[in-house]
Formats: sequence, structure tokens, C-alpha cells
Amino acid sequence: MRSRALLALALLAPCAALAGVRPRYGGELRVLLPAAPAELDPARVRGAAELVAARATGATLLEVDEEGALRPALLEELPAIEEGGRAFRLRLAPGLSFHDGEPLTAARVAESLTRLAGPSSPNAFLVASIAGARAVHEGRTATLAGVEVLSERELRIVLAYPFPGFPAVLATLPTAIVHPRPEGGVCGAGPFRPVERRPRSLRLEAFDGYFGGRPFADALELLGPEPHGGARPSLGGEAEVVLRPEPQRGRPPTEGPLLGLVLALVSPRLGPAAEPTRAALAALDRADLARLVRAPARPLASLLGAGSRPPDGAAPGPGEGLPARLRLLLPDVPDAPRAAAARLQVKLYDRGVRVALESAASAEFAERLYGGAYDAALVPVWLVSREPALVLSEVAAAAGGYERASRALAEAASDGARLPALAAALESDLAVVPLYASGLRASVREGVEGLGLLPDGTLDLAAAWLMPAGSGP
Amino acid sequence: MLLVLSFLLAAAPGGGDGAVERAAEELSLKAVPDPAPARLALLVSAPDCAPLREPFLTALSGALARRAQTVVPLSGAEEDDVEGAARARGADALLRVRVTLSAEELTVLAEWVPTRENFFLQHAVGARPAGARLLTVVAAPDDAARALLGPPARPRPGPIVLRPLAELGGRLLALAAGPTRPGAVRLFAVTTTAVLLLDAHGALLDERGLPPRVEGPRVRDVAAVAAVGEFGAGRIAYAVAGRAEGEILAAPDDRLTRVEGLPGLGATLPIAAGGAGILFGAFVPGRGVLEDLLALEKDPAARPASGRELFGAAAAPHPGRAAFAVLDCDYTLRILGPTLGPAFPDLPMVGVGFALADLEGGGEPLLIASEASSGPRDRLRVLAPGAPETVLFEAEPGYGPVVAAASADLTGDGLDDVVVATSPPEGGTRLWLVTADASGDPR
Repeated sequence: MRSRALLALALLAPCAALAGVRPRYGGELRVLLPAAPAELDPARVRGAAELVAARATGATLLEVDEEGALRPALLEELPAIEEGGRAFRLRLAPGLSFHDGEPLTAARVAESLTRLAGPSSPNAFLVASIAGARAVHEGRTATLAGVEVLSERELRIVLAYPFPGFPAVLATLPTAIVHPRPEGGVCGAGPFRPVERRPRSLRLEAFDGYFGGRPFADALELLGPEPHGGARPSLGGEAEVVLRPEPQRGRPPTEGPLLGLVLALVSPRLGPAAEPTRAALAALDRADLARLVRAPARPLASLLGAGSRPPDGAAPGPGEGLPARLRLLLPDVPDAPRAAAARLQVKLYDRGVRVALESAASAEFAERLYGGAYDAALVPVWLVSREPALVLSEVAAAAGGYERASRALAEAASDGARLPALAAALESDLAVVPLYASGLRASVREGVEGLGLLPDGTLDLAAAWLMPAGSGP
Repeated sequence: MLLVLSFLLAAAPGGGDGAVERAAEELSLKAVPDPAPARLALLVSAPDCAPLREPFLTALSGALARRAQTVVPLSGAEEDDVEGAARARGADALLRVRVTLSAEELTVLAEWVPTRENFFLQHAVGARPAGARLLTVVAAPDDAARALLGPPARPRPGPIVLRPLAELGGRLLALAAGPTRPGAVRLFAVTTTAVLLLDAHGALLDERGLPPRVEGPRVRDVAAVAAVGEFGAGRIAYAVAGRAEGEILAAPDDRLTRVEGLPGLGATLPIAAGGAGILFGAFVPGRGVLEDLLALEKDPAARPASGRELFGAAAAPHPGRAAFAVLDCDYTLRILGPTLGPAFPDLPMVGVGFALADLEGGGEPLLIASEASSGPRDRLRVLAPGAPETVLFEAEPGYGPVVAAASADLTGDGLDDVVVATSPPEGGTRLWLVTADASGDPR
């Protein structure tokens, strides 16, 4: 079973080529991220920084290996496909436990998937294919009907429709298995356990009971940038590992996969001006936009990034059907595409449109998007999977909400050949204009070894280890 | 509890007369502290100095007889199944003695083996634990008496060379070498999936699957220890971190046969074996590194001496001042004497594949190791532990990082050789022979 379009793991430090050494335990790694991870609940994580934290603290049922294929993680083996891809039988590995020592059982997996499907989960679209997911998301039931616990270590997942690619869902970080703590928050089973949260950082310690083996580093500090820090935080002084958009001094950076999509949306509330506005956005020089981004980026011709979408029709002339004023909505998040927004202001001004920027907190931003309460919006989406059906579903969730995402997933699940047409339909339905895709650059200080950039753009921090001080080549 | 005894007798004023007798007397005192009539099978060998065997056998037989022991001498021809021979002669126990003469020291290494069936589970009241080592080091000044014993029969070494030996599939975790029966020096390799018995050329003789993995968390850095030595009825001991148990194996007919299991998960295990005996250690639970717990006996009550962790250990087939080496996880190599005291200053930044071997027959083992570094290339070097600034040999780089090494006399010239395992970029494992045998091939 191979997950398409996945990038192979890229080692940031060439561990395999090291002479006469083996990984060693001990030490602490500081990792500078685009933002301090605010959310550790996998069901609610969004954006690269939180996904890196989820990778450090969470454990999924499956993983993507170095060659892009799925492999068992918490599961003992790959899921057995039943009923032509409509059901899957899962068997957990023996002896699993959460950070608090509680056994990780099939019942806990069922609870965790049900929680992910719940009303407050922005990542619920991932499990929308499971039978009964809609009822859980709408709060009509607390039981996910499609998940049957067969024994302490076995469960069966029944889908609402055949979806042979469903196992790829179980490798995405939001599906990491957690159980709620009585005092609030969740308890995971990943390589590191959270021990302290500070305003700008999150401190984690190695978890001896991690199924994949105790991480080499004793502790991690996941850091966001200083509020008034320089534009280019230094590698070494502040952190041993940097995963950020801008290049770093020190070792040459490794560019991660371009998983950060930036989409422009046009609201139907613009009425007759909506289509000319969408056409004007689609006619923008996207390569020009991509060049403005500090991160590695490339223009995006279509949602699936295949570049096969026919060009939009000729751009309307100045003022032709366009609104005189346009409010461009942005989310108030660290990775908001402000440079692209400024460029749009300039370009649309040339077309006679005065663009005013407004930003809204994440919850309000989503509410306004789903309710159509905006003129146009720039929507950043950090993909949790490169599986095309899940890409379409995630874009639909970001732009149109759960219902649209659920529909997109159902349509994309069964027929891979129709994916380009489905992507085009989604762009048309939601008036989405894909602008560009960007990624992050990972850099490590000399002496940090074994650290890999994973296909989902996160870091394999459990594998990172430190050479003794003063042991240069 | 097992017992290791070590002491140095100052040279008697006026010469070395009686060094052999005094060593025999000291050993008899340690072996039979409370004289009680018993029947004792005695096997004495002097592999590096044949003329020494008879005088020492005579002296020790007399000393033991004075301690109420009925001595049953065994011949070298019975070495194939020496414990069986001892049982057949009705002996209560077997005393195996190895005498070596190097520099100005007479070294006597003895092992007391109760002639019982089970090697590790001998807890009968009054029974000595199996494998107890009684080590006697006696100074033998360079005088007429020493001359009478004859100089060690040392072959003349050639230049040290590195030769390709064989290629193995898979990733190698540990390597050991030594005689699995008289006259048959074998290599023993532990890979991620199996244990392999190889002849001295690296050709596969037999293989066997690893024991099952322990349920629960995996070991992230898969690692193993292996040793060829005297483990009761078996000659090979190995353990893989995270596996349910290790094993003691025998290979009398070049087929690997399980003798018994070794407890896993934090138990003390043989981690190296050489002329000074077996070195015991233990994996840190859940990790592929060893605790700072080193002992010459299997001691379930042993506790780590410090929080340091070790990558591995090596033992010299022919010890001198140096008998063992252990590599800390900060790549510092500690070189230890026969009683585990420091023998030489620590060496920094030594690579994880290393061995001690008396390549040139100088009476003191040399260190064969690569250098731990962040660079992509590896260098294999031969150093004298007492003068590490002098590189006796350095191999051309380009064959991949050194991952393991083991020492034994593979060429049959009486000098130690070293087999080095490297991990080439294209995968698999390559074995190389480091030897000073001018004549050439492994036997």
C-alpha cells in the first residue's frame, strides 16, 4: 500500500555517512518554529508549528516510511481490507501505553476517533468517511457507529462508502490517538510528553514507553520567535534546530515539502461582481506572488498542483464588472499571507479596485468564511496529507466547512481518475483561486545528527541525537 | 557470588627461582581455600610458551595435593570435551588453567568449573559458582630461571595489512571471533534478523533466527553483544537489546546449537570474552547501549558504577597490561587491565567498532579502531594503547564506516588478527582482515 505523491524522508544531517559513530542518548534540543505551538490536541491542531508539536507528542496508527509507503505504527500490521475497501480490520501492537501509563487499547482508539469526528474538531473532515461520522459531528450521538471494538487490541472500521485509500487517513497527525485528561487537555502516546508550557515555548521530555523506542534526546523545547526578535533568528544561539520560512545561517537548509497552500476566495455576496473578481484574481501573476514569499514557494495552477488546469479566460479590463471597493479578509495567525495580501492590494488597485485588509481571529475567520460574511479572503491551508482525496477534502473544509469537505471526500474517495475534474469543480463551487504553495526550511546546528524531515513536513525529532561537544570532523 | 582474585607477587630477592612454584601455590590457595578431600580434574595449557606447561602442571599438582585434592590431570587431546572427560574420570570439579609468559610477568588464568550439567543454575549449597576465575599474576624477572622456561615462541610478524574477507547481506550489529572447538576458529555475527556462524574466511556455515522481540516499546538503536569464549557447554554467547532473551550456543560440528537461554531485559550478560576471561555487562532497559556495569563474574546484584552509558566492549585474546576496552557513549575508550582497573589513559573520540589484539606478538595488545567524527569518511588505525600518538597502521579510507570488530588468531600463525566489519554505502556488510601474518590467508 503506497501513498501517492509523498516525498521521501530527507535527513537534515547525513547520519548514515558518519564515521565510526552510533546515535547516543541524552541532551536537549531547542527547535525554533514559525510559531509557539498553542494547541496540542490533535483534533484541533492547525499549521506547521502545531503539527510539529503533534508529531513530537502524538502517535498515529500508521506512519509513512522513507519511501512514501504506509507502515504500521501503533498497529501491529497494515489494516486488512474488507468489503472491497468499505471496511478495515485493525489490530494494535501489544503493550502500548499513553504518557500517563494508561494502556492504549482498541476502546481508547475508538474514543479517540470519535472525539476527532466531534463538533469542535476542525479536522473532523478526515474521518468523515466513517459510517456515523456526520451524526457525531452534528452532536446527535456520542458514538461513532462505524467503529466496532472487537477485543482489547482489535477493532473494525466500517465506512459510509468504499474508500480504499482510507488507511492514509490513519497516518495523518490529527488522527493521533489520545485520551482526555480528567483535568482537561489530552494525553498522547508519542515520543515526548509535554511537561511545561510557557508563553513562547513548550517543554517536552522523552517518553520511555513510546512504541517506537525512547527518543535519543532527553528533552525538547519547541520555541516560537521572539515577539520583537530579528527577522532571522540565529541557529545555534537560540536553537539547535530551526524550521522556519526564511533561510538560516549555518548549515545549508533543507527545503521541506510545499504543504502550505494559499487560496483566494471570493464571496457570493459580491453578487454580479463575484465572477469578475474571481477572474481578476485568477489572472494575477502567481509566480510573482510566490517570489514575494520568504519561504520556498511555487505558483499553484490548480488545487492538486498538477499544473494541468487550462488557463482562466482573459482578464476583464480595468473596472469591468469589478467592485470599486473590496474588503480582503485574513486570519489573524502567524502564518497569515500578509505579503500576498499587500501584493493583491497593489495589483487590484491597478484595476481600479481599492482593497481594504481586515483580519479576524481563527474562529471568527472560519465562521465568516462558512457564512459568506466577507468579500474576498486569503485562506492559508497547511495540508496534513498529500493524498489527493484528503487534499481536496481539507481545502473544502477550510473554505466551505465540514459538509462541503465531507462531500468532496466522498466524491474523491471512490474514483481517482476523476480527481482533476473534482478539483476543478471544487474551485468553481467555492470560488477558490489557488495562488501558491509554500514550505519551510529546516536547518540544524553542527553536531545535531539523525534528524529527518518527514514527508508531512514535520520533523522526526525522536530520531535526533547530539554528538559530544568539540567532536567536529 | 562469583569470585575474581588478583594479586601481584613481588620478585623474590635474588632472582626468579620458584616463580612457577609460588604461582602454583597461590592458585591452589585460592582454588581450595578450605582443604577438604575432593577429586579435581586439572587441565593446564600454555599456548604461547609450551615449555612452561609441564613445570607448572607438576607444581600445581603438588600444591593441590597438599590441599587434600586428588588430582586427575587431563591431556590436551581431551580439550574437545574437557568437562565430559572430567565427569568421566569421576571428578567433582574441573580446574582449567592457562599460563602465559609476557614481558616480565607470568600470568596464570584459571577457571573452576563444577562438573554439573547446568552452567548457570548451580546454586547447590557449597558449590562454587560456575566460571569463577582465579587470576594469579606473578612477576618473573629476566634471569636464569626465566631463561630456563624458554622465551615465548613468537612468530615473526610481517607488516600489518588490511585485506577484504567477505560480504554479508544485512546490517551487522555485533561480531565475535574465536575457537568454537579446538583448531576451529570461527566468526560469529549478529545481524538485525539472524545470528551467523562463519568460517575464518567469512563463508557462512550456519545461521539461526533471533529470539522474539519483547512486547511493548521497541529499542530505537538496535544493538547486540556477542562473545566467543568458554560458557560452560557452549562457546558462543550473544544478546540483542529488546529481545526476550539471549542465548548460549555451541557449534561443535559447525552447526549452531542452543545450549541455554540468557535472561534479557537488564540482566547481566557476557559482553566480551578474551584471555583474561569473560566480561559481563547489561543493556540499559529499552536502549541499545550498555550500563556502566562491568564485572568478571555474573552477578545479579551488580549495580552500575555511574550513569555513564557504553556503546560496547572488547577483550584481548592475549592480554597484557590491557585486557579489556569499553567505549563510553561520549566516544571515550577506557582500556582496562585483567582486573578491570585502568591500564592506560583514556582515549577520546574512538569509533564504535574496535578491538584489542596482539597483532605483532609484542606481548601487549594493540588497539584497532576508527575515529568517531562527523565526517563521512572513516579511517581504521592501529595504535599502541600506551603511545596512542604513534599510528602503527592506517588503512585507506573509502570502505564505509567501521561498525564492529573482533579479534582472534584467524590465520593460525599464533598471532592475533582482527576482523573488521564496515557498512558500505550501497548496503550490506563487508568484512576485512587486519593481520600481520606475512604468510597470508585465514586458515
